[in-house]
Amino acid sequence: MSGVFVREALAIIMMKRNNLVAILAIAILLLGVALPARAQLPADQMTTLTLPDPKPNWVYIMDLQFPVNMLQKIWIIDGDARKLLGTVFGGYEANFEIAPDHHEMYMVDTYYSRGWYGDRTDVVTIFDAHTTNVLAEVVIPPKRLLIVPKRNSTSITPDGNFLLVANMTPATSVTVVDLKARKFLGEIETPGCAQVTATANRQFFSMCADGSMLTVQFDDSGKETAKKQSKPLFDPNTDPMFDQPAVIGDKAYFTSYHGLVLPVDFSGPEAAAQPSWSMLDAADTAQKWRPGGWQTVSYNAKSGLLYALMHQGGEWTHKQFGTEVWVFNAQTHNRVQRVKLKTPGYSIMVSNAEKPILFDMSLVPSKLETYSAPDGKYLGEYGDIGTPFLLYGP
Amino acid sequence: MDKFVESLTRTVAQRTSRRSFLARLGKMILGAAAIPLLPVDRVARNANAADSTKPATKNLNDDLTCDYWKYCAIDGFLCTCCGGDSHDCPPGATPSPTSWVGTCHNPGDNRDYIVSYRDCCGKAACGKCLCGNTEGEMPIYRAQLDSDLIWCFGAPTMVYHCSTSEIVGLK
Repeated sequence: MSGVFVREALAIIMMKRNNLVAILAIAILLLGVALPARAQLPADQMTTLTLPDPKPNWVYIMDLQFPVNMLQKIWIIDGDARKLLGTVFGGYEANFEIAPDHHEMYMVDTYYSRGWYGDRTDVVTIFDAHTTNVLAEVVIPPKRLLIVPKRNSTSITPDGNFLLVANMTPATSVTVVDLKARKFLGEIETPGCAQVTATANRQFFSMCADGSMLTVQFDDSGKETAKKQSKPLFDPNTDPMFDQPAVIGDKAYFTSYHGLVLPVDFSGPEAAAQPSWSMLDAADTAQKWRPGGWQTVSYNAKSGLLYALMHQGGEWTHKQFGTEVWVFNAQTHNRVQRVKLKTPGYSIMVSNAEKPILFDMSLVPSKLETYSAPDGKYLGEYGDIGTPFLLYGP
Repeated sequence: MDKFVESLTRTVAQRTSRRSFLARLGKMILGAAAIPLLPVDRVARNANAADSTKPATKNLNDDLTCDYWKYCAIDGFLCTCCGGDSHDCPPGATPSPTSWVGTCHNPGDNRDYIVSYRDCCGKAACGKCLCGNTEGEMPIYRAQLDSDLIWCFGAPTMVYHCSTSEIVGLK
């Protein structure tokens, strides 16, 4: 822009009493000067993008959209690039699952016909994992466990054939959905035991009030074929286990309010506990270190390392935000790393990539932080993700 | 404890005509072997938990704050901030006939009270005065001590609005 041009513009502003007219005049002058100097841009062709196949460091985040959580959201984020790739929506106290072959995603929801009142419908919505379009729906009995979302309110069998949905009316049971046939098959009673985690193609477990585990086997028609409740594997009266263990295949690592790790083998018809061990030494105990948060423990199968979200607090601080992630060799029980978090986290997850990422998700402020695992080098953050509670990997 | 369960059941019975629901609730209570132990268990554990002592600065007598003594394990939006009070629902919301229970110490009379954390249901979330107290709070396999569950069983809808704490009686 030449000095002459600017002077002309200023002169117009001085002459005009109406600023809007002055601004328009300047805009017209600018266009007159600028347009002949540039080539015309091609017209945009608007399309809808699709997602590629998921990469091991993608992360799916359940945003409860508090305070009014009638319409929850999944953020799909590339953990390496810390970039939002897309979203999926669900209903009230939604649960989310990803097909093992990554072709589909599932939301398990409750909807009321008028949003917050009216007739209740519980439904499994099936999404194409690339377009995120709805492919089908399976209506299920309106009994699902309505709780602030937890990973094991629903579960998918390793073969991807069956979706299992925990119910509470308050009587407890599990709904079985045939995902291939898009069909509700039936219900399996789980008296005194809550939640559901598939550990084999036709087998799941639930945690029971006395610290025992209920192992259930079922057939292709969704009918129970065997059910076996173990003896109590821990004492909820003295040291309750968190109800969201790290699960890998047919093995689960439970952690307790007081810092014990309880590995449980679910490969057989009855749950078998392995010796428990403490994440805390005498100094840790004296400093009141405890596990806590929402999704508090994660396991990386390739390295055999267990990641636990830890804080310093006393009794009944089991939901306090964690300031560190402690990394343990699950075989030797040695602590191999302490990762100091930039922002105290509510949920953590470690990915299964060649170069794994430790995801630390904080509720206040709302953001995702990434660290290299297991060494804990801070990599970056992605913010403004609503009220995030749960992390899922592909 | 049996007396407490009886009392709670009677309270529920007085407030609901849904007999089939009560039958189911009864089955659940019978099914959960831990129930008769629970409030005793919590009191014992609280008494042993030296580090759960509340700091002196807390507003133990202000029912508009999370620190109010009766809210020692309340989790959710305080109905006192939403047009209700500590044991009444705001207009248009329905008291749930079911609840989870706990024990809170009242410094005013130095007594321990059994309280019932009753949700107000049937309207979308109020969104005011969010509290997340966790004293004695347990995982979902001990549902009667779990605060994350939507405690609207037996209410017209399972839509959560806000939380109250109702005195059931002395421990």
